[in-house]
Amino acid sequence: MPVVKRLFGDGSKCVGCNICMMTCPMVNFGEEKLSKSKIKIIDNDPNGFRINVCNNCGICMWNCPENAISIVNKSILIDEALCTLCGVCVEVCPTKSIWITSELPIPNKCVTCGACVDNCPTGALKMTEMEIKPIYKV
Amino acid sequence: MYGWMGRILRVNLSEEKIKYEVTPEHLAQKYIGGNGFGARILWDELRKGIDPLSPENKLIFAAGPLNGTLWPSSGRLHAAAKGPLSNAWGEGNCGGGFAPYLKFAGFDAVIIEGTSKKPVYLYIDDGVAEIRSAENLWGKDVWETHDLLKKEIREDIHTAIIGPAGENKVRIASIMVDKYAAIARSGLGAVMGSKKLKAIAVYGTRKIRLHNKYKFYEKSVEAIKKLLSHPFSESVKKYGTTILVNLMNEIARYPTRNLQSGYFEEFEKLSAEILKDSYRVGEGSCYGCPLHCKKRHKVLSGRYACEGGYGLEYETLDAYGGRIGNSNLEAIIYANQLTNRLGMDTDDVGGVVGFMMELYEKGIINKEFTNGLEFKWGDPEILIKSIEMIAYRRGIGDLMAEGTHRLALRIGGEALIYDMTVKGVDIPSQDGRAQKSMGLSHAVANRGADHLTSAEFLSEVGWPDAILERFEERAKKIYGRSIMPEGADRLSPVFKPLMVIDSENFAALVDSLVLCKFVTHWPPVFYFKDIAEALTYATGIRYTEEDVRVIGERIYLLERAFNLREGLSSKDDRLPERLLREPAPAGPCKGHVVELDDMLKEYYRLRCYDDRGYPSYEKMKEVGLEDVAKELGIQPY
Repeated sequence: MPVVKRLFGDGSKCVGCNICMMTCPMVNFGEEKLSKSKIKIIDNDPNGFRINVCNNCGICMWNCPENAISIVNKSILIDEALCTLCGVCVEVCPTKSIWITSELPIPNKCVTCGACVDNCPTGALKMTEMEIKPIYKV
Repeated sequence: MYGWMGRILRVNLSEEKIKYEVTPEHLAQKYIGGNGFGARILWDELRKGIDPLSPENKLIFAAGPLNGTLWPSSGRLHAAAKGPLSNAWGEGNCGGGFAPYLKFAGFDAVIIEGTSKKPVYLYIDDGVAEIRSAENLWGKDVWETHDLLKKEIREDIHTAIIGPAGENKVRIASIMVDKYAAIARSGLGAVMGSKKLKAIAVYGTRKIRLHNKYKFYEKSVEAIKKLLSHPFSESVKKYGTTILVNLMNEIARYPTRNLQSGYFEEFEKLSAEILKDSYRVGEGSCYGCPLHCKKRHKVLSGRYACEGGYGLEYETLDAYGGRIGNSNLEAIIYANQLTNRLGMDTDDVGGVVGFMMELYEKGIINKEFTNGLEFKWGDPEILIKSIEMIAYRRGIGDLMAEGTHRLALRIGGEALIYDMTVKGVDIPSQDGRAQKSMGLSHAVANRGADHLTSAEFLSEVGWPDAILERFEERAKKIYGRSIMPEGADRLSPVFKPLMVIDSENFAALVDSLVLCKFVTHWPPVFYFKDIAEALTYATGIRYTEEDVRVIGERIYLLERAFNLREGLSSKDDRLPERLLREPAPAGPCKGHVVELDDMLKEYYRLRCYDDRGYPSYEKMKEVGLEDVAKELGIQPY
């Protein structure tokens, strides 16, 4: 079984400061544009905040019809050369943390760079390494 | 232009016209943003002596170049207008997420002019603004309006709303931002209400262009780490400002019973620990702030069961606690929620209720005057009734809605002795007798009694390192001796004018960026040098430490000039007689009064003011305000 970096968000520790949402597009695209952030804080929950981020479960990888998604250095990445923007990964994602946008040539998915984890002031984000099992959705 | 968005939105409600203007480069460079924009635009465009609640007044919401960036605690919004309480410079700022989204929508500032015939609200969506009818929102409270707007427009908008108090032109009304944050002081809610503008909603997706974004990112991350590693941050993160209730009672700086004393015997019932253990249900933060001082409180059952919401602050814990002799914490949470929903300043409401209670105790007013209400110390029911009466201007509430100073003038005679205001604005939750620099700050602050205009917290509980670092050199240069030990002694008036002036200039700069004073003044993590560096990376304009110092001073003096033009002078830089004559009755400051005259003399000397309180021409020229000096009729020597 492959070992990958996995990112988990603890909503009970999140205070909604948006620092992760500013860090992410800055580190990945070199601009502070919230809509490009791969991590999202959802604050309309009356009980607090929810963190929506890809946890690298791998379902998109197992299900990609073009085999465009693969593990590189323990991160699950999309290959721009192979991706056809078919949208299967978006459909199968259980956490809805991968999406297609006109701003980018490939679906926007977390690359587990860890910058948000470093900058989070409350320790609400955690990164660990874990084995993942193949899951196929038809 | 980097850092700024380059557009200013000008909305004329009388003519229902919207203009998109280019942000003048010299304005941005010389005044940065926030209060700088507010001060310069109001100085240029307002006529002398207008009524603050007339269509001629202008209300300016402004962001700064650091808003919406990763720089810590940069989510604040600044608002300015001619203030209805002081009849002079009025300003306020608040947290939440409005300012970043105003910039994402493409604007540095919004100028509201004129008065609409019908209630309206303004919606700013990604560079385009629209005036919409608010007939269905008028009369609704802040929370209802916020929820209705979200339903009507979209889920992720940010709002600035007035409640019924603002609609009724209550002079102590606030503007509520994102439901919980308040632009409270100066009564700017009444200005918005006089314009029949119920709300501003904003949404945007644009990006902020930074000059050297990678360096800026590095610097910001460094700043966040530096802030979080400061030993004081831990308690801020844990308790927010509520921790101050205990600290301030220790040094007897907690105004109690209309400033009769600085020590409240029952303060332990209001302590941060109880609040945390019994009522806290969550935590929150403003946009981009790692300190997350906003705590969410809720009362689950009983007479005062309520949702509560984010951010019960020290100021409210005093205004609704010690200031009126009340130790019922649940009632405070309830009253705070009620005030937020109706849209008022808790400081001023607590001030006017405390004032009434003292008059009632002294027998100056009777039941007939108060509509049968017994204004006894510590009765939370009276407080809650007063809040409703003030917001809707019912009965005696109509007079109380004019603020403490106007109420005192109306009653006249002995009542004036108990009027705890400066320039018409209630003294907030600091007793100047327990910290001399705070007394001086209250007396000279531009928007009336105010602790955040100078925010001189260094001598409060003693930051000797910071005091040495910041003032040692200057003290040696000006006075020829070391700043220690008097500098760190809050009860000594020595060196305090120097420290207050420095804090005022720095606070003016911080308000122009617009940052929170939590990261700059208390705890004192950043100083001019850090700001200059961040500004340089963000805007691409080379700011040196000296440049930003001058900018702070320029903005402060321009605000002062606005007051002078409105007819204020040195006679308005006064504290209530109580703080000057009645010695503090308890605590470490027992027997102390504010030695205002000595400090004021030194303050005027260092600021280069003359006896009337006018700055000298040379000073104005030094900070680049010759045109202002000429208009004020200041002659060169």
